[in-house]
Order: sequence, then C-alpha cells, then structure tokens
Amino acid sequence: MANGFDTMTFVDFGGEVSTLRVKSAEYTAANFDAQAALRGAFESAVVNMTTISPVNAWSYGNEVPGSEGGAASPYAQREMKWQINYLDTDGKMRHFSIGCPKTSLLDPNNKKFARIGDGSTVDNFVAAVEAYILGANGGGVDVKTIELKRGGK
Amino acid sequence: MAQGFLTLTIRDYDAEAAITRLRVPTLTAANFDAQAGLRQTFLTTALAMTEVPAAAGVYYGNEQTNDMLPDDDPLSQRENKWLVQYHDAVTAEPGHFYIPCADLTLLDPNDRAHANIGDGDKVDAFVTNAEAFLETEASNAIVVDEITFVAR
Repeated sequence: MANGFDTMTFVDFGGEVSTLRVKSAEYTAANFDAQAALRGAFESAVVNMTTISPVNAWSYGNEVPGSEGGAASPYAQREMKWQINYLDTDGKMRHFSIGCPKTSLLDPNNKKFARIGDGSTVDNFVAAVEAYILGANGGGVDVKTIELKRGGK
Repeated sequence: MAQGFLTLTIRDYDAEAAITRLRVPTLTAANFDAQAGLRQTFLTTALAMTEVPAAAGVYYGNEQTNDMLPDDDPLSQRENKWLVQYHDAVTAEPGHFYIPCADLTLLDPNDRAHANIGDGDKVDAFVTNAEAFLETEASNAIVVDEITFVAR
C-alpha cells in the first residue's frame, strides 16, 4: 500500500537548507485534484508561518515501502551497475544507472554490454524505458547501449 | 513548472542502498492510471535486470524547483523553528514535525513560547489546512495540539 507524501525545501538567509516532509493520503486518479488543492492550501499556510516566500522547492506523490533487508543473492552488489546510455532529444548522449546487475544478461559476444536484441528480459526493459522515462529536456529517450560498470555507490 | 519523477531504491546483498532517480511524465488526474501501468512495467522489467527480486522503496510524483538562492530576509534562519505537535485523531498517538524559518510575529503575545492559535489569521489557517491534509503513520487524521517556537 502506498502513502502520500509532501516535501518542501527552504533556503534561509545564510543559504542553509531545511526540508519539511509530511505524510498525506495516498494519491489516486480519483482524488488527485482534490488532494492537489489540499496540498496547495497546506503549502501556502506553511509558507505563511515562515519568513520565506515562495518555498524554494517542493515535491509530492506516493511512496511504496518495500523490503529493507538485503538481497539473498551474493551477486547483488551495488558497486556494480547497469549504465543505460540513451540518446536524448537534443542529440546528446545521457545515462542513468541501476545497481546490482544480473550479469547473466551480458551479451556472450560482447561481454561489456547487456544483450539488446535478446527478445526477452533486456528487450522488455528497453521497451519499458523508452515508453516511460523522459530525458533531461522532457522528451522521450532512445536507449543505445546498456553497459556493465563497476565502482561508485 | 512541475515535473514528474521516479525514485527506485534497491538493497544489495549487504543491504546497501542503490538509488536510481529518473524523470518521468508529470502526473495528472487524467494520466494517473496510465502512468501507473507504465511505471509498474518499468519497475518489473528493471528489477528483472538485477539480482534483486523486489524494491526496497519506490517514490513517484511531481516536483518543482523555483530557485535555491538564499532568502533575502535576515530573519530567515533555519534554526528558528516551529515545532508542530499533534496527535492521531483515532489512536491519540502523538507526533510532531518542524517548520523552519519561523515568522516570530506570529507568537502569542501572552504566551511567547507558542504561536497564537486562535489568531483568526495565519496560524489558524495553518492548523485548519494541516488537519485537512496531513495523516499520521496509521493513516488517520491529525489534531494539532500546539505550535512551539524552538531554536535548534
């Protein structure tokens, strides 16, 4: 079950950042507009309690808590990643990463990369990314390669 | 302008967190269910690319950054906080949260440790809107008890 959340970020006179995070009802299609109105009224009321206006940043939505325990597989290591390299609408290559890669999905003929064209797990992921994820400019992304990377957190 | 976002947290064998944060379409009432379908497909296929069977947490929604410049009022100090104390309307369990950069003109002139609940203005508006919008961990309504000025 999801919970709603609302986060407001304030930057004070000294440039120090504070964040207020509170819980609200879960957002659904049915209550989205009503919740948005309540959220807007709440945020205005909070700002009126402070010396800051407007709030510097805000976010809201749902959180879906999951299992906080570690993965069962010893191969699940966050220091290894899939780096998804995509072409953005401005012609630039950008990327994002997902930890704990399943290395059995590497292309046997090019073992630095996941096997795009496997007709299965990798292709399903590429299709889902291209259907849902947006690039830096708010346009769709064109996944080019999925590269195995090591290091970092 | 608001932008949609998705944050996926997974935990590895040592329970260390790996976080992926992505830009996605802005959520609206009209696209909410369609986006839920796309999001679930993405999460399922993304987890299938990993050694982790389930997410440790998923956050999604809308966000907006206006600017991150310091405020121009020297009285804007994050150490000056409103401590908002409330209780669960059903279970009576207490809770609290803080609001930074408190506007000290809202202190009760007869009880200067507290905001003036009953001012018929900003403080009352805050209490009303907080009780209308917020929930406790048990997903019940909150009842604001007091708003105390604290410096920390």
